[in-house]
Amino acid sequence: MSETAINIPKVQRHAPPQSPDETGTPTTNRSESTPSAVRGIVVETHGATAIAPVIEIDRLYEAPPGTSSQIVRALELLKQAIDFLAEAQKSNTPMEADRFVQRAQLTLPKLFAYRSIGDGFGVIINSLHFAFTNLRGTPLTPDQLNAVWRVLRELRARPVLPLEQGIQRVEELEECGLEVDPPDLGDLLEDAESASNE
Amino acid sequence: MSDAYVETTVLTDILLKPKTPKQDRAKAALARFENTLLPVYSIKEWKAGPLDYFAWLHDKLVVTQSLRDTFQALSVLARGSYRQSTSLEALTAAATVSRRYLGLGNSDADHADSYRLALESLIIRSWRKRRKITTRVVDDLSCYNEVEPRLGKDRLFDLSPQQCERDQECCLAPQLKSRPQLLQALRDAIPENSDRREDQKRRKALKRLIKHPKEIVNRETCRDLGDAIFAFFCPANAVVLTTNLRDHRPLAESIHKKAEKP
Repeated sequence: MSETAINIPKVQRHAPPQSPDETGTPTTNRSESTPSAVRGIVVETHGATAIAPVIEIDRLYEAPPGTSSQIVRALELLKQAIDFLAEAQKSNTPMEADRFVQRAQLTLPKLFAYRSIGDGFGVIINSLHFAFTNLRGTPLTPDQLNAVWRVLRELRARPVLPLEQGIQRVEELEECGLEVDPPDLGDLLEDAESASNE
Repeated sequence: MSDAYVETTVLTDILLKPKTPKQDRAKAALARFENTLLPVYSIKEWKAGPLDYFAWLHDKLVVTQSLRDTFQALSVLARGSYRQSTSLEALTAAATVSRRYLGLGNSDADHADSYRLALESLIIRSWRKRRKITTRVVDDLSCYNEVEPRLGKDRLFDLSPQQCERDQECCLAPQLKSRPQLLQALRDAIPENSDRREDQKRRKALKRLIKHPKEIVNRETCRDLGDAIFAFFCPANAVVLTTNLRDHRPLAESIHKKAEKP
């Protein structure tokens, strides 16, 4: 499945600023939300204090090609990886699927270079790297493929993720049988234990 | 079938040794028992020991920003008070010359960051799993607060508290003091001439409990009792499940209980 950029008109600099809804009426139904007057952005309010502007991530970090912005480059790479994984999901043979997964895997070192975006981002990319390392070339199962695709999609929608939420995504990867820790961490602890027993 | 009373070493193997034969064995052992009981004392020892060691390693990576320097620091510490282990030497060498087990990135600083993130993740995930690996968590310690590991603004871990509350008698004290004959048997099971510090401390703590039952059992005494706590509180229909049979078997057998390896 491909991520499709939504064509939203550009926000004008002179557009009126957003103002939070102060109606005091909590709403949970999308149909009851209050659209904002800001052109090009739909702002949904959910109660007096909750304001949820629905801005696509591509719109939020829109930048000309070749930009040096870390987050824009990271979003591009994430899109590549997600598209490869989506192709893998649609593949007719396991070998074809694995070819696409390998291409997604190759984006991980490049994505890791943008880990300063946030520790949630870093911990997910890092865990995926170790998950692939621990698989030792074994192809992902369909469940694992779906989980990796879903986690990367969520990361792309919210790249500036706190560590806590990043770890929740890592737990989702673990739940589908991926081993997300470096294979030699256990050895380090063994060393400390054997040393302390001397 | 008997129940398993899970000791700290088994908890550690399951939570902190991913992808190792020890973890596989520990998980398989738990699966053999219908009821698996994790005393909170195991959690307390695990947090103050193995988990704290990983937190130290994490913090060293934060401070040095170098995987090579971190392994070097580790090997110096090992040389200082202990032996330098073979695999530690291998890891230090790996950090210098091999990329087999290294994390993401191209530089030593990148690899350090990859391991830092991996340790953050493992420390926090293992803490969340600690109460889920057995069928029950038992023997709560009212004098000990299970506070989750926290990352400070300086990016260093804070694992406090690692001990029970100060100025409060150990909540296990009344039960311990009510069975002086068991305490004596446990003390007799520890070799009198042992030159191991933990044996000496355990014998001393048990002696104090036997001879001075009116004295307050403080957190130091509770900590020094260590392995004896497992033998004492292990239910009659359970076995102490531990990888450290050398210490636990004599203690358990001295009071007609059993200790087993996973």
